[in-house]
Amino acid sequence: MNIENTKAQMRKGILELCILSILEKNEAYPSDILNELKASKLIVVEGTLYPLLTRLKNDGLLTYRWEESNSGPPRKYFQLTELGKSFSRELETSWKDLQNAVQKIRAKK
Amino acid sequence: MNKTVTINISGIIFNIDEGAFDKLQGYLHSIKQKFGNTQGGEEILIDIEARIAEIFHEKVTDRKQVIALFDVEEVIAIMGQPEQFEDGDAEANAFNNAKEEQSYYEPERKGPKRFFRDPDSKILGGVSSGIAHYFGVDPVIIRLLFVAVVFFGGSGVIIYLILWAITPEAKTTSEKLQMKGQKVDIDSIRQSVGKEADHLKKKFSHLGEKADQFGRKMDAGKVQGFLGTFLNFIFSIVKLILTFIGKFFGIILIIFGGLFLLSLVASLFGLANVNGLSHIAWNYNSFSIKEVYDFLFLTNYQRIAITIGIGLATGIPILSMLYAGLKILFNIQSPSKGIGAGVTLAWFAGIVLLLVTGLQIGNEFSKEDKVVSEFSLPPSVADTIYITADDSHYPVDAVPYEDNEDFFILKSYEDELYMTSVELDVRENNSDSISISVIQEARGKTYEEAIERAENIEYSYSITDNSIKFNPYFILRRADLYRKQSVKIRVSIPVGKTVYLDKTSGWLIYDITNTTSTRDKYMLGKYWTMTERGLECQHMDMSKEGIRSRKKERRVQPSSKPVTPTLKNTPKTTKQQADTTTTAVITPAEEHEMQPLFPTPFTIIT
Repeated sequence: MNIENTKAQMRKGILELCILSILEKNEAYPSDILNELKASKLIVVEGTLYPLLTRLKNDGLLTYRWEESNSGPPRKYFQLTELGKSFSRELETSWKDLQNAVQKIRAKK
Repeated sequence: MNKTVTINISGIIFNIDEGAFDKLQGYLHSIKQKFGNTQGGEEILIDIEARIAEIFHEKVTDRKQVIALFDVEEVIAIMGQPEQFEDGDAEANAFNNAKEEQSYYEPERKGPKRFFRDPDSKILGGVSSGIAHYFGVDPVIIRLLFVAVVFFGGSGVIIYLILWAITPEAKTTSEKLQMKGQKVDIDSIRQSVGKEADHLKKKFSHLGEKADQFGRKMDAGKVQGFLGTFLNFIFSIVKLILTFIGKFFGIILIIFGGLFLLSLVASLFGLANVNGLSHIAWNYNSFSIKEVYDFLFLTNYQRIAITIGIGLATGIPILSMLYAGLKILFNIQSPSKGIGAGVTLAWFAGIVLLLVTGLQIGNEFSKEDKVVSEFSLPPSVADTIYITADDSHYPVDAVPYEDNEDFFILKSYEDELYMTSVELDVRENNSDSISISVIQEARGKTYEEAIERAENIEYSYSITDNSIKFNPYFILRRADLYRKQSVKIRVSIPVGKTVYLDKTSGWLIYDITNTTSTRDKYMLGKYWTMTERGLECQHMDMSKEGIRSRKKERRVQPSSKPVTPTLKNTPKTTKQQADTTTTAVITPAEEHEMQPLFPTPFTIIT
């Protein structure tokens, strides 16, 4: 089994949760989200972020508004919808459950 | 001078070098390929382009009006290669994974197998793995076989070396494929090479990472790098050695566990006389545990209980040994907790059973009682008496005293046992006659039982003039069971009289006190005179006259009719008819030890 594959699988699930959590606090541009992820040591390339944001938006968890920028084209400013908020809370609970489970399993060894 | 291209990204105009343009176009194309067909793919592309535009916009200044190649490269680094996009699109992933799985489950193409040594998985020379590939079994099994053969004869080493010498190593890819039995064609070669390439690539990228980290020591304070790798290497070597030792230990456990188990089973069921576990008598006989049982135990219940008890208490640890050995070697899984608890419980039950039955049996030995019978030689008989033992039942080459064991079964018959727990001691007597007391002891649950057993001991000796021949054994009826029966003889000599301890009396004597603290062994074959201080050794006159005179002394009385009172204790009334022509003075026997429920000591009546 390819370990890189497995690692990638793990991250994929977590990424959504992280994005939702970030946006829970304030609205943000994609690059802001990226910076915050990087600050928390979760490194993703930008190319990963955009498709994910788009999908979340298409699923109704996010909305955005256009913001004019002096340094280039207008940028999307994302925020959570109500659905997104509840989604985020539910994911957080699920995450805690998983954390406990893994901890217990590893502790047994 | 360079040609520039004017492009429009996300509605913003940029001037870009021709070379840079090519690269950018390629990149965007690859992104479009990845996302073009997916849901919302258009939007993703738009977003990405907008971001690229943003980055480019920051780079353009008055000084630098054109996007160059390295700018594009930077953008690509920031945005990431399409392969690096971890997309959360489950459907697309499922599709991709399905394709992967399909190739994974594709059955391996079989071809003719050839026997090679496997250089990729070798401990010594790859012989075992080569064999394993050929037969399609786990290399570990083959290695174990080799080790086993090495132990039982050492030929394994030779075989291994021969195989090593004659078997070629699978070096080329096609050889490796043939070793594993895969068809050698383009596809399988490609697969195989691909695997190797992946492997190498990983190794190199790993190295690259390490070098990276080493270079950027400041990065987040992580100083893993070289030192870490080195330590890891050392640890893995140590781990390998320990694992090896562990496996070896596992083998030892299995071997010994098996041996112990066999001997336990054999001895428990009386199948064999296994030395060590069932051996209770030395030198001349060995008895199986079954015989010990018959002899020792009262009821069937006790016999069964002890058997089960021993079986559980020793069998379970032995089985655990075996199991631990197997687990170490073959890594079989631990059974459920329930089984472990159950087994421990069973072991405990075995111990408890042993304890309880042991206590019960011990109880049978708790009360001790004895029967004493006495006999006196009148003072006129002789000044010296000779003590010998009847050693006719012993093997010819047995040495008295040397081979004397206290608890010892000389002979074993259907319902009789000849036991050698007979001890003789010599003491001072206050009266002026030589007296012999025979004390028969036994044990039982109650005093009545003890006395009865003591009485049932059959012991005899014979007196000829001034020489006494004792039996070095007594006879015990099986029905009485072994309850620590023993016979003690006390020869009491007045001061001035002498006793000669014949060589054969070595079977009898036990720690006879003497003035020179001579050990029993060295007392044999000598004359000992009782003095106020105790027994003193007489240095005998070894001249011809001395010997002759001593010979004469041995036959003081002219009469030749031997006196053979056999002391047999019949319950309560113990009268003895002595057939003798010697004038004997009857002395009332002294009652040395008084116990309640004690038959009156008998006396000789002429």
